[in-house]
Amino acid sequence: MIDALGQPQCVLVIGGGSDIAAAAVDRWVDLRTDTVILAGRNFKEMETVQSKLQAHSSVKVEIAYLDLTDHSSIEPFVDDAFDRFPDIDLVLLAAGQLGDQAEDEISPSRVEAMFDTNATGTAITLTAVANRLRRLGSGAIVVLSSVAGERVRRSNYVYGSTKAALDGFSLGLADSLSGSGVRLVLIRPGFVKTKMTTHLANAPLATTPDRVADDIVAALAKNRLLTWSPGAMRWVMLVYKHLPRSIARKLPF
Amino acid sequence: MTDSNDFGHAITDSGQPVVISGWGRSPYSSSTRIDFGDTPGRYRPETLARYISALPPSNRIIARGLGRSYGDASLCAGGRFVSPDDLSQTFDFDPATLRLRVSAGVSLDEIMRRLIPSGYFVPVTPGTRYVTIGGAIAADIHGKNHHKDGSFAQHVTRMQLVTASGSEELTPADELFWATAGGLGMTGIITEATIQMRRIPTSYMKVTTERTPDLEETIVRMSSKDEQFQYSVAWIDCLATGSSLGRSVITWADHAEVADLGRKQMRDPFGYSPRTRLTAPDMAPSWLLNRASIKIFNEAWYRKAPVHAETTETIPGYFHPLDGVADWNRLYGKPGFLQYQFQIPFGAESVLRHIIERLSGARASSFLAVLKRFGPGSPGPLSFPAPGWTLALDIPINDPRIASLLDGLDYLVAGAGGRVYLAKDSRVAKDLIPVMYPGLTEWAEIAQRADPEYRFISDLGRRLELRKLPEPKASLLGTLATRNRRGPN
Ligand SMILES: Cc1cc2nc3c(=O)[nH]c(=O)nc-3n(C[C@H](O)[C@H](O)[C@H](O)COP(=O)(O)OP(=O)(O)OC[C@H]3O[C@@H](n4cnc5c(N)ncnc54)[C@H](O)[C@@H]3O)c2cc1C
Repeated sequence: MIDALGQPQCVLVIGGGSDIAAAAVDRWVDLRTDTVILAGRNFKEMETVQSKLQAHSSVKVEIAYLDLTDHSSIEPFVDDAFDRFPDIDLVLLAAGQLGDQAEDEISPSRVEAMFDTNATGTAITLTAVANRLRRLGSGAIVVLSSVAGERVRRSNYVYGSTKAALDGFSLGLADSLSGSGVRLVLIRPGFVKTKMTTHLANAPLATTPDRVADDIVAALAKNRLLTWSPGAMRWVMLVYKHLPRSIARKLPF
Repeated sequence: MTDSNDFGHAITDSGQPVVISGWGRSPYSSSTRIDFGDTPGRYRPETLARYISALPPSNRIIARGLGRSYGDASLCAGGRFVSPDDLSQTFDFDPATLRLRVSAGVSLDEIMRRLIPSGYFVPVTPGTRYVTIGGAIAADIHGKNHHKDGSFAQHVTRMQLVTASGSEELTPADELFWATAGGLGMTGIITEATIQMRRIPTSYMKVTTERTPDLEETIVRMSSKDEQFQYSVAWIDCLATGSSLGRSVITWADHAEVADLGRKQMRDPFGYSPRTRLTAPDMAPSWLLNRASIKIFNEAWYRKAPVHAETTETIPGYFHPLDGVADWNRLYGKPGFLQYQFQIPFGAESVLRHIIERLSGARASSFLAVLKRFGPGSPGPLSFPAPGWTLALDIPINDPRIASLLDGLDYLVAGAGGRVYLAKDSRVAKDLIPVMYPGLTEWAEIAQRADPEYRFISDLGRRLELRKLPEPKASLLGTLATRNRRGPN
């Protein structure tokens, strides 16, 4: 059961190889978590996370295969996970592809793949997860969105628009969960230095997985629906959202 | 949803699950109230027992009182709860024996309103009168007279407990009685109890107040003077540091005799009119209670207290000052708050000091903390009071760092042979419970015999795995060491 400070005991991670997810789970394991289920496509990455977690604790870590582009497999996977671990009290949705804007924007099939994973796959997952948590009457869903979805930009509009879909879907879902005992926490990180972004130049207010993880832990403790990471990103985005399109288009990031 | 039972009437659950929380408003979960509708005999324990046994065992159930436990003790996520309104039929006082036979959903507030004007008082009252008999027994609550009179269940002569296998009358000679006292609803549903009330000479309290400059002085005064009074408590300013660390206002009290009363009071020596003066707004911003505002409050409160004074106060004024503001828990805003209450044995006063140092040094702001000396404990394996000191303080949930601060304090408490109060808890690490409550296994075995299908498990019980029967473990210390690699800080 999640406690008064938002500390979970049994965590299901969708996108189990993600650097941010790994950092967040690391913190929870340090606090109260004793069971973690990592779900994703890349076993090697998930095994790295697993051995890192188990190097310093007796946490039980399971690894499971889940491909978010295989849409019909998602609900059975979620149901199976909740059947086997009926005490799951937190689901962290960290799956997503960053893509490559230059190539994506001219390739219909790459656009399809981006939406399949980042938008359709996550929306299906959230729906299946919410159904199960509603029945349990408690628990938390943490969604890693992105400031890229807040105002979709010329420089990464394929990725950005998939995150816009996820962001809007999550906010609506959060409203629908009110009265269910289940909470949803939406995190909008800025530019995070991870293995997904090593090839990219640093953007303003660049942050790290560790700092985003700290913000996730804090958002859960305070039970806050919407968190920018770093916090200053909120004000940057507020300005940015209101820039005239003609100027925004020309900004380098 | 409708469940038909074997006596032909349908008992409907009142539709939708509702979100409930304890007094601290965090955590919360949703569950469905069991609604007995107008089932004939619905208030009979047998009806409730049959209703429960007709449910599939996977339906968890917990009895709820007035939700004054702070954390998740009265929560049953995804399950059902019994409302105190459905356990409120009986109120039967016998002045000859001073025994009150009363339904478990009846509150101490109601008992006081009905019996104080005739000169009778409850044997134990907590800091709020808005608790039910069920909650008082299930948490085996203590009052300011614990050093003299023990805990609530020690004044219960009989109770009725309902489980899926039926309804059972229990007396203090039964082990299930003592597993239910302090068992936080996880042995079944208490429907009724008989309480040994006491006679009081007036409805007023004769109060002696002393202000102390620091913790040492507080400890010395309480240790030397508590025995002279029936009631004793100290309010500590946990924001004071340095040479003022632990400065307190101690109040000792006895029930006032008629001769102690002023002329106006003498006209109606059993007058009793508890009032709620204010109601806290629902949408209080969470910054309202911050370190600065609380510090100002604590300072003013300490300065206002006399160095030494003797006064006459009303029962609500002495016992239930917070009840004057309805819904004051909302003042902490949406994230809610928690209460940290622990006990440490006599002889470990240095640990108490160390803990207060850490609390005052940390940025965890708190109103006055309450310090009290406990006398001998009750036989309940999960009953909280045990000889020693107990400190209770409210902490707003506004900073995730309080998690590690309190984890560190838990280790100090457990290491000193103490425990945290489960009725207040919403965050302790489950590994520490068997250390803090050595009777846990014994309790879990008794609970398992009473409820072999594990129906009566609260969110607290799940979070701390209280009902889990332990597998043989190699070394408990080994587990603690691996779990918390950063260790107690
Ligand atoms: C301002 C304030 C001051 C307080 N001061 C003190 C104090 O001085 N000393 C002290 O000991 N406590 C104190 N408390 C805590 C409080 O007394 C206990 O938590 C008490 O159990 C609350 O009773 P309730 O009726 O609200 O029960 P709830 O909070 O609703 O439930 C508490 C527990 O009792 C169980 N329970 C309730 N009814 C039944 C039943 N019929 N059968 C079986 N189980 C049942 C529940 O399952 C739950 O585990 C204080 C709380 C507040 C808010």
